[in-house]
Amino acid sequence: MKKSAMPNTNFLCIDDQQDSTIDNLLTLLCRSNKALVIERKTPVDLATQIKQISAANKERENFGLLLDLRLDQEASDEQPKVPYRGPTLAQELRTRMAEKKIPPFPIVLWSITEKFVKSFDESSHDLFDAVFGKDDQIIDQPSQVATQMISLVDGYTQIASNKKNRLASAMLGFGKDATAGLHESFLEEFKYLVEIKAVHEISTYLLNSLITPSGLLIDEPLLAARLGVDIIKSGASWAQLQMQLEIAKYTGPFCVGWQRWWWFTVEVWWESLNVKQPNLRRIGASERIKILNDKFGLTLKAAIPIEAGYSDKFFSICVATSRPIDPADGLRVAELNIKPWQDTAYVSVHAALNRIEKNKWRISPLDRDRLDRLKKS
Amino acid sequence: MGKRAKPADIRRRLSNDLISLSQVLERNTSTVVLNAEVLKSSANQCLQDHGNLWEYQVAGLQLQVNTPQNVLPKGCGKILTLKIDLDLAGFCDEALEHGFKKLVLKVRIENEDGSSMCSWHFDRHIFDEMDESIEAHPMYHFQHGGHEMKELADSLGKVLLLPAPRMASPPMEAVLYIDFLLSNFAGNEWKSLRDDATYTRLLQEAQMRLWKPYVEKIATWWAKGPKSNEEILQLWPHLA
Repeated sequence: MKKSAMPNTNFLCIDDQQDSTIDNLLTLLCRSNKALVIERKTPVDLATQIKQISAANKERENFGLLLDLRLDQEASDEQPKVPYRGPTLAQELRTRMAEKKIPPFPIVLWSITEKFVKSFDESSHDLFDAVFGKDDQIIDQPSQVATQMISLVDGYTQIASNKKNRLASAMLGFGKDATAGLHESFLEEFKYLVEIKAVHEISTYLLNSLITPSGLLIDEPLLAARLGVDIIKSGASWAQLQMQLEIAKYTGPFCVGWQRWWWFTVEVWWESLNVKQPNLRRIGASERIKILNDKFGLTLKAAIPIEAGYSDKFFSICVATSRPIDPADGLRVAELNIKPWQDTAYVSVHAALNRIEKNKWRISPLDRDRLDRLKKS
Repeated sequence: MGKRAKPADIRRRLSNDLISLSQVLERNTSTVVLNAEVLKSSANQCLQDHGNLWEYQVAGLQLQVNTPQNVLPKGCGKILTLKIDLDLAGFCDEALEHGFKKLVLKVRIENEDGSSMCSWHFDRHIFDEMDESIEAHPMYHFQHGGHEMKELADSLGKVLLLPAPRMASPPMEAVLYIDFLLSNFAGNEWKSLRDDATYTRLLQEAQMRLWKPYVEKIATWWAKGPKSNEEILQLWPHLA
């Protein structure tokens, strides 16, 4: 077999919906990234289904599975309705992966967003490497979803090869001296997982505990907020600044689908810019970008607070408005199972008082009194 | 005397202490300490190689406390916010007490709507030959006001704001200063923190490093035999 420079990534999609909407969504994904190939099937009885998936995985390199949440709603001409749902099938497959009866591959869940709300049990979250809404992410950002699906398959290969040699810190691009402080408490846990857990468990751990929550790693909007930058208004200057920050870029599994930066490396980089460099937290966005513009000859534009009178010493992103905030203008959001290296999430007082995107946040009990006082004032 | 620790080990130890402190505060005092995670950045700074020095800042640590009784102006509100900023640097190869290169601890206290404010300043006095002031400047001293108050220069009413008196106090760093502020503004949390083994350890170690040599040095004033009078008077100029 001749190997091409960019081998395709092959997903099998199992969805019970009969009409052309599924085909249209899959076409949308594959058109936005030519390296993604998706074959579509309707569900069959569970035992046959597992065999079918297992066979498909053997036949293809770079394999992944795309599952619908509700497989139990529509019957096809040849096949009556199946009595199980996506998470049940995923659970069966994950168990076989753990038993090494089938090789590990990523499982992605998709559904209509409304159905997630109604019938997705959060406890089955760890079964899936990613969850996408058919009526939001797939339609709004097909290119990003396709890149993430490919990145998941690549990440599995990367984890599997590092796991053999137990190279936990090398996998994440850690040098010897970068393993101090908070990284240490994460690495401790991660090394243990690499030694004893299956590839898919390491994958979901990385995604749910390191990559998705901000803390050790941060995403592009938060990076921009902390540097005081308005991404859109800054245009090419933002891309140029990112080149300066290559040293802080996360290069571990899933790094193509999920672009992240090691926050503490960014801090050290910031302090190295000038002899008397002010503490990032003590100066506002306009001072931050002035330092960056002077240093690198850029024309970055400062991000602006949600509301007049709010501080521009941005360090967080409001979970409701996705706008940068100084945590002093925010209220802490209730979160479950926070890891020690994870940052606190905030909703801006503005969004809390106006109940913006209320389904996305719940005020932490610690800050409810403060919200009550703010309501009265 | 034990083997002298390497600068990198000292920085790592201080850094780990700051991470422990942030976790203790998050665990026990999260209604009062709003953003203990700023200490994680301090811990990260502390790890950086500055040759023979260790260095860190605490930037904008915020405490939210109940307004104590008898506060003026009346009606300033039920809640006060304390914003804490520290700048610390020291030498790795000496006892910390003698080895501070920089020590500036500030606290800015505001009511909730920001209409009233005051501040306190704690620092290490830099003795130099240009220093011609004849008033007492204990090496480590507390002072009401400081630069922070300049923004209120035009709205002080009948209040007179002075740099004196400067009150001598033992040196402090992050753990000791936060403990000092909690003890003054959040008695309940301060008491409950003292039941936390990690917190007590952090306090004991910092006091051993900073307070023991400070107190011992001062006590030598009354010792028989030769002593370094000038050094003692720098710490406590009032001794006679």
